[in-house]
Amino acid sequence: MVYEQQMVRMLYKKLLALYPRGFRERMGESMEQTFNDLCNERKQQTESGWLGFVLGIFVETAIGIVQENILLLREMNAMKNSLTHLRLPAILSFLVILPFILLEFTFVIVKRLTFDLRDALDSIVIFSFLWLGVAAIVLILMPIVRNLRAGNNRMVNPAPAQGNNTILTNPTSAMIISFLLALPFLTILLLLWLHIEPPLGPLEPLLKNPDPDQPNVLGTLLFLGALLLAVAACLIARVPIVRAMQAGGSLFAHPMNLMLAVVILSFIAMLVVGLIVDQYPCWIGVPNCD
Amino acid sequence: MTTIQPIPPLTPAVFHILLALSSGERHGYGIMKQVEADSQGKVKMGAGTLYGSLKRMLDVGLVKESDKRVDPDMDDERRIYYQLTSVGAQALAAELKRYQHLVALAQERKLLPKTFAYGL
Repeated sequence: MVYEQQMVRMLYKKLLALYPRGFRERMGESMEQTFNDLCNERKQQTESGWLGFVLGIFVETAIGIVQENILLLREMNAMKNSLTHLRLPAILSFLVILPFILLEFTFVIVKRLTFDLRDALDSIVIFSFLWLGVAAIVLILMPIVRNLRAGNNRMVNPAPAQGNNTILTNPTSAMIISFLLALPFLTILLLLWLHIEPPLGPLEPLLKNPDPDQPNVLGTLLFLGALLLAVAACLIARVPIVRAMQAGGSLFAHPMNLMLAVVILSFIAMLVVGLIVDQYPCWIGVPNCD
Repeated sequence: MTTIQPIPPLTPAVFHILLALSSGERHGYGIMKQVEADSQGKVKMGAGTLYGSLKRMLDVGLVKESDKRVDPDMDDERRIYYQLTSVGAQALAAELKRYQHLVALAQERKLLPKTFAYGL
């Protein structure tokens, strides 16, 4: 019990780090003390349901973190350039996957089911992909949603966007570049879902692991690289759309770019959902799950 | 005494925190417990809500941080205490006056229990 208390206190301290800096510096120490006081009080009252109680505090604090970050964003008049504001997508996506991490923590680690280094590495890889996937979705959608809420979605011909067109802001070149960047990721996922074994040739010994107990590092890295390229592709495809909306145009001003962005986003979303559906039984402690 | 501009109704969280601090300065955990006691267990404030509200109250001057000291009823860890400012006291008084007016209105319309015509 003492070990679990120390661990949750450490985890709560790490959770508090997600608050905006100003808030954290002013209130962080008090919040930590209050959390300790609440845990001690609960421990004195009863030992049963302690984890659920702690989980409730984590969730409530996480909601507070989201609220404070959104408030900060509004104060900053955010997001002229979404790439310089990666913090909010990273935090939001982490909070989305936090319940699943806590589920695995509760049912696997705390209940001392079989858990070794390989399991830990697998968990880290899976949650990292989930985090990246959800963060990418938030990052891609944020400026579009912001412009929609600002009422820039008009079904009329847009006014010409300000500034010279670059290779990324030109809709045609942006579409071609993003298609090429997204191709590896889309291909890999399609092959996986259709259960088609591609001819790997000389790469087969590297990508196909004869020992299923050994992690396929190269395969994982390649898939990660493909996913990152797909995210970059979607961001590039989105550039002319956001520029058109900011100039007062419609979301549908560049339909081909929009269609490509939607396709890539859908694949990323399907990856996220597929991972969750596939791994959920493992997170709730179903035995012999992989 | 500083006179405040007319302020809009306080949020329930802010109101309860001001009420809890009206009886003396407290640390965060103490505020939580006092809020629970004042509301007879009906209002339980989480840490996220409490400190989010406290931060905003600090920013607008409704409360201020007092010294850091040990709570004699708890362990020997030094805690930050919060206390009501004069602006906070005025805001609380204004809110209670608003509630008083609403209760009077309810009594006038015989909406409160134990009123002769209640339920008829």
